[in-house]
Amino acid sequence: MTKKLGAKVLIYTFIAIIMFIYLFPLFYALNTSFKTKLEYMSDPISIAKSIHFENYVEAFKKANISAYIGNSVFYMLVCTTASMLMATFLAFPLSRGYLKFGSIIFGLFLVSMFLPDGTIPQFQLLLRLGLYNTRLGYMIGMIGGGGTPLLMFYVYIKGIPKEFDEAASIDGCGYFRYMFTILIPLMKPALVSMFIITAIGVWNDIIRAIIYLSSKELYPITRGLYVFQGQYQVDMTQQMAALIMVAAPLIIAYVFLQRYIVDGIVAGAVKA
Amino acid sequence: MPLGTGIRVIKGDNMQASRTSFKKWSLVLGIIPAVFLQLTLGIGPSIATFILSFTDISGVKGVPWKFIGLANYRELFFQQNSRDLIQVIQNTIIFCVAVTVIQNLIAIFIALALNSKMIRGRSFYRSVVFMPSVLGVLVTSLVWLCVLNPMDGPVAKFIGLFGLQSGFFKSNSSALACVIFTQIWMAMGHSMVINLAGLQSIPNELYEAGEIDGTSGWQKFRYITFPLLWPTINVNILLAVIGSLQSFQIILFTTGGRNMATQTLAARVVYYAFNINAGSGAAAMRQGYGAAWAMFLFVFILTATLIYVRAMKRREELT
Repeated sequence: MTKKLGAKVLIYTFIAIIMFIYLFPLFYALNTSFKTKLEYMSDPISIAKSIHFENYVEAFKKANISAYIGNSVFYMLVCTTASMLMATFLAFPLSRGYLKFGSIIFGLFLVSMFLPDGTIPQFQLLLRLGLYNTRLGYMIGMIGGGGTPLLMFYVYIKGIPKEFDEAASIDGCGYFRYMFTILIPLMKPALVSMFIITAIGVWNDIIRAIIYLSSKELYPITRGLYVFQGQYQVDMTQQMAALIMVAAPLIIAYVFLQRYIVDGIVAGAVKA
Repeated sequence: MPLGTGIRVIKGDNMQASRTSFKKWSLVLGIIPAVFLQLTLGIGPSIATFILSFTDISGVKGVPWKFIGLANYRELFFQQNSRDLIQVIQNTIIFCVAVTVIQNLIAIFIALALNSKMIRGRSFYRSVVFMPSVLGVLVTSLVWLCVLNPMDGPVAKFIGLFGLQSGFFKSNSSALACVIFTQIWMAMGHSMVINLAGLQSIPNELYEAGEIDGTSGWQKFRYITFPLLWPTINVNILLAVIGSLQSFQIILFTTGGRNMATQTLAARVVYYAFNINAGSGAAAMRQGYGAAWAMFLFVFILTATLIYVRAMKRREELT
């Protein structure tokens, strides 16, 4: 019995250390964002005496956050919706084996992980097409039908009876109508999970935003934060306020949606 | 994308064409957008990286460019300061090995702890460790820059109590360690979640049978948990090796693009090709030269993967 208690204490201690390493930085950032500049300079570590929102107001204005959030939402919705549609319409005929060269097409999407990184030629292509510093040029590289969604949908569609296809087509239901009215509603759990994971990826993108965008009007929120931290490096309190404003929507979404997120990650790595 | 899973998917299937009464052209129409994008923006550019590595193309439109043969590779291997090249390779290997080993060890321990039934609040702990994956690279980098601020950050004050001091991201001796730490902090949730799923797939009967035979806790781990979790760990290791070799974002946002103490191969590619965070006075975007670095990185990753897979195969044959 005592041995079990000892193990329990050991495990709890270990978890406590890990929790501290993970939660402390976030609380420290939050704490810093509530301090006045003077308070931070005199003692950066102490707990904020009172909660000041001035930093938020200032950072919100200076970092132009309201404009960038709109851009980010737009990019996220367009890229994610397009990717989900592509992955669905790709996974269905492959999963069912309706296409003659199905395995070759599948191979096209799997082989890319064994190839060199294509960022540079992709940039050259979009640059020469005049898509540098445009919304389309920024988004198009983040849209695609491959990756984890393709694998997950491929497996998921196998679980939907083939008889549905037959019944629908005998009743004269066209392919696209069948997909939108019957199959896609049936795929809802897989779609929701993959939608969220893809959306987080698009929302958090910063490298493409730096490479492809030069006009402020087009910046997503991550790029806005990046510019802000470069300009106001000295003012840690405002910097952390801006950071919290960027992170808060993600944390809130995560609290409510984490079941789908974790399911999706596990499915991507283990399920197949 | 998890390496290997996709191949397993296809292998398990006989992808023979089956009949359908849907119109063939409509099925083909449905896959055209995805296939078109994959060819033009996925596979096409990947192959073109090889071609561009023989040119002096720049990232500016309208500047003439030409094929210059092996000049980029000659510059990469022989004409630059060889100390820099050696340091980049050394950093890459240290970064990859440290991230892979530490991240996986801790992720196994956390998964084991969070899988044990006597612990309360497990889903909360799991959520906390996974959170950085949702927050993304930029937020992660900025938070740690603030916490590891060498002037007045909390960690600096804490080690100051013991009379120690460090420049963290800003000093050459500690920057690489800080970058490795931040990378692990961010990516560990992913490995942990995969490990947890692996642990949950181990049937309970095995442990019950073990209990009847009177196995100790260690024996349970050694003879039941570990062998059955091994395939999962294997996937995790491979993902960490490839992921850490390709990763440059944390390096870029914490120590910048110029600090040689933390430069890895992947960071060099963006440094030359896009000048991100490279500071003032950086050369123009030398994308041909950047492509040569990308090819070098590609060969590096391929070699590392092959060595690992080969080693694992030998291990399986031995046991």
